[in-house]
Amino acid sequence: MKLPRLWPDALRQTRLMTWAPLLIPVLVFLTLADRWYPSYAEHRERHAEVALRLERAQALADLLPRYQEKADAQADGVEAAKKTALTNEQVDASVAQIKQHLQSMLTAEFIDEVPQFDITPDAPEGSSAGSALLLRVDLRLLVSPQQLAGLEARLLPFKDRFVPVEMELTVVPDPKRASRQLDARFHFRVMHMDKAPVTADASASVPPAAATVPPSNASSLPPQPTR
Amino acid sequence: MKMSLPWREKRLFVALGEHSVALACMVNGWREWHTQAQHVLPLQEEIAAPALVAMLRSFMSAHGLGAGCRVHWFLPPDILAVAFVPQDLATVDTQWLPYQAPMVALGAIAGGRQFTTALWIHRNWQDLFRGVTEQVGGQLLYFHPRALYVHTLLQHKAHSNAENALQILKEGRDWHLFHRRHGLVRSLTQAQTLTPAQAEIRMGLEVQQVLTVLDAPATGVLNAQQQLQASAVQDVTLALSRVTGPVPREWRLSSAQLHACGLLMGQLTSWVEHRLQMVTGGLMLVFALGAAVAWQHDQTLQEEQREMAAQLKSLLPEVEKVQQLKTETSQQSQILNVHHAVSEKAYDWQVLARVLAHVPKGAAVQAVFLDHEALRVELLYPSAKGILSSWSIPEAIHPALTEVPDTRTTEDKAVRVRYAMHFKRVSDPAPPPAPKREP
Repeated sequence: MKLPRLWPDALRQTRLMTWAPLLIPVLVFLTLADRWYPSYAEHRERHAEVALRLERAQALADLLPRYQEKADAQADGVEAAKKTALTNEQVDASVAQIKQHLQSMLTAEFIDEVPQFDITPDAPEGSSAGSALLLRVDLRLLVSPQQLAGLEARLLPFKDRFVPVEMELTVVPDPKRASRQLDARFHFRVMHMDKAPVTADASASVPPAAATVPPSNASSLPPQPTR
Repeated sequence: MKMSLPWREKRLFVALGEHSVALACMVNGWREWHTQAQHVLPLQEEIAAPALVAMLRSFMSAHGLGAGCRVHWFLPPDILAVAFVPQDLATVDTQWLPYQAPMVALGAIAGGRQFTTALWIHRNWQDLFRGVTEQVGGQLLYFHPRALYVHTLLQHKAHSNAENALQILKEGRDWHLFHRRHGLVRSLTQAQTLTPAQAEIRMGLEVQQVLTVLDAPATGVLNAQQQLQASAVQDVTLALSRVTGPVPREWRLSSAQLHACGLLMGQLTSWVEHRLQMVTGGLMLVFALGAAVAWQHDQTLQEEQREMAAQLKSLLPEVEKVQQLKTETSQQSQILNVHHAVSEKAYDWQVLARVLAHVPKGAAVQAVFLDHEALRVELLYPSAKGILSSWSIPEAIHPALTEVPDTRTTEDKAVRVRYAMHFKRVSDPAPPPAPKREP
């Protein structure tokens, strides 16, 4: 585009200072950009952050009925599970409790040949470490049929706590008595729970009947039946 | 009534002819200058300052042209000469001028290395028109050749598309020569003593000079077809004489056209300052509007942020409750998983005693394996006699056990038989009834 003759003529006639007013808007713009824009950008950023937090909080709050429903639905099952579990602060205490209890049963039945008595933690497939743990009890005994029947009778009241999974009996010779005896192998499963795995507030969602059961009762074993 | 916007500057255009003076009030439009009012007054005698002052003053007062109005003069070639100089004006001296250089005002309006179309006016004429302008309170800005007025007023265009087509407009004794590409290249006033034929011969020489410079600068040979034809000259005198009635809308000049073809006589500082003030003001206005919008947006953002923070605070108990329930249900799920893993493979304690109570007579139990799927019993018969081929378990003993064929091994006379009895699965569908045979 050809510049009109007027502008070259005007440029020749004017001094440099004539053009100085053009700097005013430029300086104003630069000043605004320097002084005000950072806080404006910060406000925008903070606004976006708060909006995102609000959106997430709203999404979480919308899930409250579902979580409440799920917690209520699982509460009965959890209470039932708690009744069958050994509740101690640590798993070692539960292991010791099992050993002591079974040992007292064996002693009561005069069973002294115990080739194997192992208790090992065994996490179920797909579960992660948490407040509950599965304990595997492997017990091998050399007993007479009468001793076995007595032991079964002692274990029967605790079948929900010492859950029998496998039992293998084999008739083997008894060289001491010149007779025969039973080689018995038992595999039990026991559930251990850490003390107070469910928060106090969450227990409010448990039905009152279940909530009245004191946790300490769950950890104690009932007295053994006598013969 | 037409509203005039404040930035629409008005200027006075004075076109001086041989027998008339055209006065026009021009308004600066968006892209071009256009006529708001025009008067054509007869010029009875020689040009004199008092008569011009009277005409201008009357016209200016009639059309609201106040003090400081910028004035453009369109002068005939005998006052403002349009000379064709076959050289670059910047590289040659001014000896071709009929006066000493200090006596004239000189400028170029077209040309390049080959030629220059120069405008020049004697100082006396310059002082005369400056004086007339100042007496009416105006500001002298430009002297333009009258050819520009004639050309734009009558909207003449080159009659040929040829690169070097020439056009000659004749206005009384004034002859104007236009080149298609370079515009006005020559303008002259013929002497009164010349006959029309002599005037055409002189103009023909001018045309030849122009064509020689533009087409054949080395040899200067002219083509016979480029000789001036009398019929090619358009006499516009009659057309101009008709411009006395309504305001002709045709006289439109672009700013580029106007300022490129004239001798600058006035000061443009104030004009530049005015333009700069407009640009500066416009930019400030834009920035102020932008800042106001941004400030408003900032306030809105802060207000929204405060509202959202309040909402967030009100949602906090619910969010904490959800997080608590999330942890709780996760723990519940874990407890239920472990509980399921503990109890899923449990077997019935009492099944063994019930089944073993019904061991066939004579057989001795040798081994038992019991889990949640099956009960396997190994019996030792003293002889093959009395062996149960299958050990049917009545429902009264244990309704969940199914009958399974035995496997056997023989040891001398005794026979060892293994029975495997499976527990019914709860999900097992009932077997379909056997189809009855058609009689």
